[in-house]
Amino acid sequence: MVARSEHTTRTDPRDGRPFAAWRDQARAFAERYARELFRNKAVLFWSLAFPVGFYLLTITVFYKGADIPADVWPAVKAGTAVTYGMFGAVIASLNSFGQQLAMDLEADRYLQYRALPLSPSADLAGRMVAGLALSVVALLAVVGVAMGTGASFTLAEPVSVPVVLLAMTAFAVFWMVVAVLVATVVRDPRYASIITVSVAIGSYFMTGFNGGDPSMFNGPAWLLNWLPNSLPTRLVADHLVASPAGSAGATADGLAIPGTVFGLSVMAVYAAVALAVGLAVTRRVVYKRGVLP
Amino acid sequence: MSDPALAARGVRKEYGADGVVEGADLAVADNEILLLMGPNGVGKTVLLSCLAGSERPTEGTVEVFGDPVAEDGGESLNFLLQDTMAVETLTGRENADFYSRLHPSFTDRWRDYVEDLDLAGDLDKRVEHYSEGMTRKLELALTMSVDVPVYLLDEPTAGVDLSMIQRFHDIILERYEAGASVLVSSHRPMDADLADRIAVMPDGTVTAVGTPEALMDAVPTVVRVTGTDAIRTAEDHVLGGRLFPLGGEARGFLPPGTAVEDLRDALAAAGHGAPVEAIEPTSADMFNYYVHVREGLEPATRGDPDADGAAPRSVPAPTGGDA
Repeated sequence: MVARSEHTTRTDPRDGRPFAAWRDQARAFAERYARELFRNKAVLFWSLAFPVGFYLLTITVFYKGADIPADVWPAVKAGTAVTYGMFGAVIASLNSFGQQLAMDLEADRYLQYRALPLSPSADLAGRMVAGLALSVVALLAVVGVAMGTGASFTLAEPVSVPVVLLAMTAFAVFWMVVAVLVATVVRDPRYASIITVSVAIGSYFMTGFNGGDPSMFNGPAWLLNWLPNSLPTRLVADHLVASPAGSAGATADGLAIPGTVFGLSVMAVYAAVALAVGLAVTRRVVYKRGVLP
Repeated sequence: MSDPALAARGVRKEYGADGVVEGADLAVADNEILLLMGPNGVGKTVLLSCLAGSERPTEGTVEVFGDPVAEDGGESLNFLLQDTMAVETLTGRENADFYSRLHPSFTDRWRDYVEDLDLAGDLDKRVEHYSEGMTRKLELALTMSVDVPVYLLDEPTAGVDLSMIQRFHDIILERYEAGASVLVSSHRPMDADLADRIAVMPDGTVTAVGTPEALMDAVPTVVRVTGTDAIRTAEDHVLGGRLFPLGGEARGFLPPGTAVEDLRDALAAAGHGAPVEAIEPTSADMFNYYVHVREGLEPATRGDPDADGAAPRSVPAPTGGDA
């Protein structure tokens, strides 16, 4: 045995600062899940490569022969990129995040965690930070590639960056909580993956490419300004794409672009309700504790 | 008398219609190493999960220092659950970083432990590239680095090279000498060397608890038989009708009142001149007797241990950590 040095605890348990312990735990989970997500080739394929590939396929094949004026083309590419970027963000929030949780459940890792003095909210918060990071990267990956293909992005207002970030955050929180529900019900990462990818692809096409093309939506067009995938997509497109014409459905089919305050408020309600549900499920089902602390 | 460090009373755990743990009673004294010994698949891990507070028993109670384990919230104990602790896609060092932030009483002792266990050079490899033994080393180092009064270790030496087991024991003993209580589950007889007391779990219940000496003393005469035909014949004359093969020989237990000569004569009468001899019981013999033979015997032939610290089939009032 080696000679023992004086050992120190990382955090003094008697320092009376429960928030410090919560913050440490949330950071631990965030770092762990971020490392796992960004190292997983399947996650990177579905969240980054798949949407980028579809974007390239769309502008080179599907739009080929379309009568799009040259001066509108950069904005069309930008609007298309936003819809695919948000699709990638849904995949990141829903599929990748859900699969990660299902893998932990399948591996009985929560048998271990339930014996630790862990805060379920710190676990959920850490997971969500990692999932949000992947979602933002998924959007930026398509936007970056699109800029390389000549897409034109412009910030509509000085507050556009925080608006986009807030919309993305609320959007990701909503879909990550859906992932928590799927993972806790299904528990098998393979089935969870099939279900979440199906939901992501289904919601994308059923809502006219996440609200990017309202003419492809079979329901009442106004609904696109309320649904949790199409509303933030249209909001983000409005703030990043200069020309509305032909882009993210800004004024197509007479559908008004959602106002920033309205859009963020609706998304905030979605996120708040989702967070409450997600925390309750995490406490009750995953950690087997009471719904309330 | 002070409360035991950990006490389970009448713990039953069902999954659907199946009872995995069926009324287990167990107590770990303050500053004691208790070995929970039993074969694979009898519910040791489920019982440990109930004791750790990660599973809620269907029936029964679990207390840590006299308080319900659910109220303790993981402050007083740390649980090593085999094969679930280390995250495969992280390196050993990243795992240490992760767990160091989860428990406020995590210390940097893990650096010494990984040195002791010859794992320091592999900390930057991902755990998915570790052997089973390396994973066990990391799990033990991380678990024992948390400063808590009670440790629950689920088969910590499973898959570990024999040459490394003593170092595992040294780390566990170090915490014990610092005042901790340790409950270790195992199906490796070698781990009996660690224990102040041993609890035997041959099925879903704890059937015998005692000091290693008391349990060993209650093991019937052990005989060694050589030769395939002789072994087959001898099975009719040993307890439980069962011999335990080891290489070209097999070991079994003589019924009370039966001498080695009686068995030798029986084999000779059957035409087997193979050697039969009585031998000193080993930890492996003790394991085989309590886990595989004893429960099938009539109570009168069991030879229950009755020495100091032994308390078969009851919730013991622990006698302390004197080994």
